[in-house]
Amino acid sequence: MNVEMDTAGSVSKGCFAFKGKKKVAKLEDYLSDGEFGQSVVKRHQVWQKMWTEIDTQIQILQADLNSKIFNDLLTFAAGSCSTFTLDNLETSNKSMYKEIPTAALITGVNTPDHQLMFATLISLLKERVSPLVAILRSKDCQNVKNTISKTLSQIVDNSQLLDDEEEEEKELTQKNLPVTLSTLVQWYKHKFRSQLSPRKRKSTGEGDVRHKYPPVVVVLEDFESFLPHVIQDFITIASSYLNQLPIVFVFGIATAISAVHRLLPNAVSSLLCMEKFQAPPSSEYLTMLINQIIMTPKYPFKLGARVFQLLLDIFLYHDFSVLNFVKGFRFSLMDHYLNMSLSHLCCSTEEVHKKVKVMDAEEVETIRQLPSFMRFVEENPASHQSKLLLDEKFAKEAIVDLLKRMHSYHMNLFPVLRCLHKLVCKLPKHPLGKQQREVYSLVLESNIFETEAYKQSMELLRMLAKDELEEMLKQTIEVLTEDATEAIRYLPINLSQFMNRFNTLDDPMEEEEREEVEGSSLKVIPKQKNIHELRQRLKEMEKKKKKLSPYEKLRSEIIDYYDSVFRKYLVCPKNLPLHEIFYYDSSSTVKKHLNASPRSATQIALSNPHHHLQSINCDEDENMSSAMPDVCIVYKLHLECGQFINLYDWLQAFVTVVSPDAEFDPKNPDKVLHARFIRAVSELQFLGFIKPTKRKTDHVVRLTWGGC
Amino acid sequence: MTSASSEDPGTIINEIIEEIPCRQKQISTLMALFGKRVHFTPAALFLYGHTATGKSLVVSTLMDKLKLPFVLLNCVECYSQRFLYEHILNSLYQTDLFAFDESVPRIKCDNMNDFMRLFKQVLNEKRLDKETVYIIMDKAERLRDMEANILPAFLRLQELSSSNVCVILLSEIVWEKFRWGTGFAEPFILHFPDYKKDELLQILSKGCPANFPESCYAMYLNLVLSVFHHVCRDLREIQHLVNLNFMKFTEPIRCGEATSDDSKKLWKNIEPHLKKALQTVYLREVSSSQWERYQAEIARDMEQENTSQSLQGLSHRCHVELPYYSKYLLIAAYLASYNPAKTDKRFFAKHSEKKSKKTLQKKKHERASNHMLGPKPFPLDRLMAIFYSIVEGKVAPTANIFMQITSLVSLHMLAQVAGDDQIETPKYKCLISLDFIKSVARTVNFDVVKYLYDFV
Repeated sequence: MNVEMDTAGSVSKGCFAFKGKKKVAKLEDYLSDGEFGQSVVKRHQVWQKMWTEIDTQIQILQADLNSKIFNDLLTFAAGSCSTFTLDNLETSNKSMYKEIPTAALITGVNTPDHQLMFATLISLLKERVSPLVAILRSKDCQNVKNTISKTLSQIVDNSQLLDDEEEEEKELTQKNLPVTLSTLVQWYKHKFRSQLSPRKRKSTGEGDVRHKYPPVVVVLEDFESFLPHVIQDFITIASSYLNQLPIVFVFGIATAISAVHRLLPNAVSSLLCMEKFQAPPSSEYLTMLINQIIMTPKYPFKLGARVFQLLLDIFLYHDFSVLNFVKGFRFSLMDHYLNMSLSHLCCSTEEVHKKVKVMDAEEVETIRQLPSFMRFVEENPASHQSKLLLDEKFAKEAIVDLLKRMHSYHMNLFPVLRCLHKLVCKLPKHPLGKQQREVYSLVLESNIFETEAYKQSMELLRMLAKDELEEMLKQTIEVLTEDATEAIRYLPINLSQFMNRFNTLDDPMEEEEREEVEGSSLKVIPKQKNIHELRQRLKEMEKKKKKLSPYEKLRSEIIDYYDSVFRKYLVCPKNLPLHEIFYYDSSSTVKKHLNASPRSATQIALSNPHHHLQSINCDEDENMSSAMPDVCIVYKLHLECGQFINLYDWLQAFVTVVSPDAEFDPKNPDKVLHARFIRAVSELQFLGFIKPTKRKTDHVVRLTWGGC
Repeated sequence: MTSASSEDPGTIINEIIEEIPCRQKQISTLMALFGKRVHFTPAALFLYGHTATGKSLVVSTLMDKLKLPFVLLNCVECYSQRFLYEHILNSLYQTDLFAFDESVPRIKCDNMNDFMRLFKQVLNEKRLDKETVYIIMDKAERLRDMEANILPAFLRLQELSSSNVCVILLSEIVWEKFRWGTGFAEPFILHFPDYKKDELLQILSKGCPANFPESCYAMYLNLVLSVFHHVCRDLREIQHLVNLNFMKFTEPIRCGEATSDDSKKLWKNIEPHLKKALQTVYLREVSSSQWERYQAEIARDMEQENTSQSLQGLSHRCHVELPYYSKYLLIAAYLASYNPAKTDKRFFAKHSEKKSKKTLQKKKHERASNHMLGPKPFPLDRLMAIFYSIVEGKVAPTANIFMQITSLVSLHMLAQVAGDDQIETPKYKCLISLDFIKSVARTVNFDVVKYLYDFV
């Protein structure tokens, strides 16, 4: 006994975790080092202001988008139990429909966004329908008891906020309530019966019977992942209490309504009366987001072509998640303000003047070194050039001018871009894409009017029928007047003039006049030297003749006008001076952070250790040397093997690489080397490149292939 | 309770029989078994029959009308025996959990022994020992899954507690399936047979709305039953269908195009709708509450809703929009699941030897269709190999790609069958149907049938 006590005393050495003071990371901790400390703080301020603005805008969008579907759902939830009453159980017992009202909310496969969506839904439900809302997630509901206890704890104790499960358990056991729905029924009866008498007197006059019995709303967030028997039992139990408890279910279904039938047999699904609510697809939300956040002059920060395309690709190819898109946008914004030393100039127009004024010489020098500014300098006459490069005051004025020009460029760009999109979105085969974002992406990449696709679509536009063209003209006028700035106010006016000419087109007077002109030109056929020339001449005449239809003439005039407008306003931003300040185009950084590829990272690290460990003096070429880490050597050796690797051969090769001078003694290998080898092999196993096998003794299996 | 006995039981029974048609035999048998309130009833009754054959309805109406002391219990709810005991005791004791005065404590009980003791105590306290107490257990088949002693003990409850108690078990399966282990006392077995067609008519015609001619309603029911009786005899489902289509049926009458006697015209009007509804019977995607709302809406609006619902039909029910690479992953998974691994080389290797058609034909007869055998598990490596050979363009093996596999699993399009360990190669199965994969493949212009071994 004594001995035991003693050992217990001695063994009780251990580590004790102390919860330290919670450190809140401060801005200074991150940004203070480096010579541009002051400027970083400045940039951080601009960033913060910008992000708050954008974030609120995103929140508003989110609320707007789901408002319709949520409104429908809320009315359904509120309406479904409006006839419920506890007063006369006799009649409600007899009611023919004993089905649980159920809203099947089809949410789409973009699962990362769902949490946000349901959070909004629940806060709305609590606000407008009933305080009694429980949200269930499949991971909390592994059996019926857990499911019911989750429901109970959320509804009964919803006055107190419960953070973690332990607390909930405690709360329940304290009151010692049995974890059943009948507990809930009693609680409900108790709570709302007792409230009834004073309320009845009050509300009889007002006719406010709606909230007398608030429904109990149970939201199942990820319906597909629930265990079938759990959810079946839960629904069966709930339906048996339906005449005493107004339950409403909301199923969040990611795929399709058929998931319900996969999980529930007929005996259970016949207890539900489902109504389907289709949430708008996330691509719709993305379009809205791009229109409001990215394709707008409101925010000076812009994504460059490659980053924009990358974020779009991640969305379309990988997850359909708007939340991730916003995350990517936010990351780009942050990275831009962190790494672009001049990015504090990326602010609203009003502040430009002030900001440029306080710039120091060093910053002006940085601007002078921007490639786009250099190009701008070269384009200037020689006298200006030296001034721009040497005179700070003159340079600052030029910078303000250029920045303002950039802002006005953005102001004009987007209305004209929308106008172009309206023209081309319905063309056959969509040479410029169906969506606005595709047109925008092309504009970002290069001068759109120089691309083949643009030329093709202009050709197609020149073949439009009259009514189509008229319709398009109308639409573009609308688009342009909607958000026209001073600079492009004349565009819709000019276009409406074309519109007016459409009306006079049918005027016979004009037509006659034209015909006359035609006739006169036809008469003059000069003598030709040879037959070849004559033929050519005739061909030209043919062409001329065709062109001369009044509508066609007007059409080509209109299209030419459009073309000139696009050439003027849809310049690629990369060609503009100082675009570096506004455009973030470091797609590799974004890719590294958002679309990482762990497998290739591991492989690079193992095959070229110098990539990560600069200190090691390994050669660039892929030779093995003893200076490399053991695991790299082992990795390189294993690449030379087939599916099965003989451990003994491997060890031999390893020893030869590590200590090329020493003679390898097969009977008695160096213990240290042996241990190093074993460690490296098990590290490789941990990384998932090999695994042990029972098919061959002293062999391991390769889990990757190639590399020989 | 005492007031009930003063009423004449005979009139009550007649009332009940009138209320629940077509169950006269069962009701009178039960009444005979119950006897007078003080009489002992058989220790256990076992009532069985399909869903919606009136088991629970008959029993609970009898209890209500005769004002007998009873406890109703749904065995689905009993995830532990403790709950079972406490529920019975507390409902007999009528404890109120949220009562203001804490004077009446909740009874606690977690084994059969205590239950017997407490049960007698409660009966004594509540003065129920002079009459039969009924314990009704719905979905009794669930009792089999609980501790082995529970079912035998409840069957012998009368004997064990030596009190006047009767346990009524309601179930959808026959008694023979309950028999395992020892200690069973045979209960009295009573069968509730399915309703026949004319019985269904009789019951449904009770739902005739007021101010609607009954003969016409009966004709409507006849029409509905003539269409649906082949596929569905479930009273509840038919009732649902009857309600759903009634508005459509009465439309010509309301519009004044036909009178309620014009049966031919009405039939012509309703027939296509019933045929359409036949496709979605049992699915319940149009709720009866929606139907109730239509009732309130204007006829025109209702018609639009109705047609749009039925037009959506089956094809739109399982349409799912997926990200681009997810589609390819899904196609790859489908191919991996339904093609034998040996044939991968033939489909995906660039220079595969072309086999002569003859040998192919010969082989085809030998093997059973892979689609008949169901999806086979495949390792992750194979999925990725197929994915890379069918996907257009270069795709980096980023974390996002692997994440998509996991999210396909969470959407129940794939299922992980082995290898929970990350380092161990996991195996998956594809869970979607051929039609679904065809529609997915169509959206990316991929001819999936060309790559399926079964269709080559």
